Amino acid sequence: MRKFLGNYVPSYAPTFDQQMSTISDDLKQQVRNKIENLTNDPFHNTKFMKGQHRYRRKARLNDSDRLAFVICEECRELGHVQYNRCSDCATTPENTIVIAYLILGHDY
Amino acid sequence: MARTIREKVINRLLTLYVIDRCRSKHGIDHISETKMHKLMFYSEKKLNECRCKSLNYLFVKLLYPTYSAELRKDLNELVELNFLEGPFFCERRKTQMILEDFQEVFANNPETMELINAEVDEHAPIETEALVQQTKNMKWRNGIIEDLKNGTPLVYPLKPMRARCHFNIGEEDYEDLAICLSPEVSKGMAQAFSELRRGQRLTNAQVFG
Repeated sequence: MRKFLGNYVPSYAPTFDQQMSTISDDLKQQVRNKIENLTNDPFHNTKFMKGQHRYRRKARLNDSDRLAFVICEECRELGHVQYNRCSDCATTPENTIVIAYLILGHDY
Repeated sequence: MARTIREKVINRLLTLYVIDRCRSKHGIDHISETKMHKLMFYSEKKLNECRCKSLNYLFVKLLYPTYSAELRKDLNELVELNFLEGPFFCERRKTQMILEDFQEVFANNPETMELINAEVDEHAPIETEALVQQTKNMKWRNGIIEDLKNGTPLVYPLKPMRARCHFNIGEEDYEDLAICLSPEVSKGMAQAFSELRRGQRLTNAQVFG
C-alpha cells in the first residue's frame, strides 16, 4: 500500500457537499487543509473507526470534528469492498480517496 | 437530572452487552422489554450498592413493577438505528461489531462487568412472569415494591461524588463509541454510503469550485 504518496485524488459523497454548505468558514478551511494533507498521505494520522464503521477511516479536523473517508487502494486490498460497496468501484482509479461524511462533534 | 451524553453512550453500550449476554450465555435469542427493564434494574441496583457508577438509568415503580423511561427510549432508538430487532429484542450484526470492537473497554472494567454478569446470569433464566412477581415481592424499606405508589423512584444514577469507581473508557474509545451510537452520524453515514453505492460521486471541482 501507499503506492501513490503525494498523488491521491479526492472524490466526494453528495451528502458531504451539502454539509459543507452548512458549516462555518473556519471549519471549511480546516476541511480544505485536511483534504490537502490526505491527498499527500491519507494513512498519516488517520485511523480506522470501530463497530459498524470499522471499514472506514477518520481524520481529525479539530477537538471535536472528524472526517470519514475511504482509501480505495486499501479498501480493495483489505477486502472491504464488500462492505463499502461503491457501485463504480471497477472504474475508480486506485489512487482515489472517497470523502464521505463530516462527523460534527455536536452530533455525537 | 438529565443524563449526560457520556452517561447515555455508556448506558447504551451496556444495554447492548446485556442483550448479547442473554443470547450468548443463556440462549435467549429474543428478549422482552419487560425483562430488559428487570435485568437493567437489578444490574444498576447492584452496581449502585457497590458504588460503581456505570449504569445511569432512573427506575421508578410501575405496574411490572420497575420501569425506566430512558431505557425504553434507548431500546426504541437502538431498534430504529438497526442495532436491535424489535419488539422482542435481538441483536443485529451492527451490535456484534460494536461488542467485538469494544472488548477492551469491557476488560478495563472488570468489577462492573462481573457485577452485571452476576445479575444477568441470576435473573435472565427466570421466566418473565415469575421475574415480575419476584420483583413485586422484593423487600423495599418497610414493605415490598408492589406496595409502593406508581412513580416512586427506585434506583437512580449514582452521584459522582458517592462513587467508589467509575466506568473507565478512554477518550479515543469514547469518541469511537459515541460515533457508532449517534443517531445523527449513523443516519448521515448511511446516506453518504448509499449515495456512493448508487454511483453518485462529486469531483473536487464540483465541491470546492
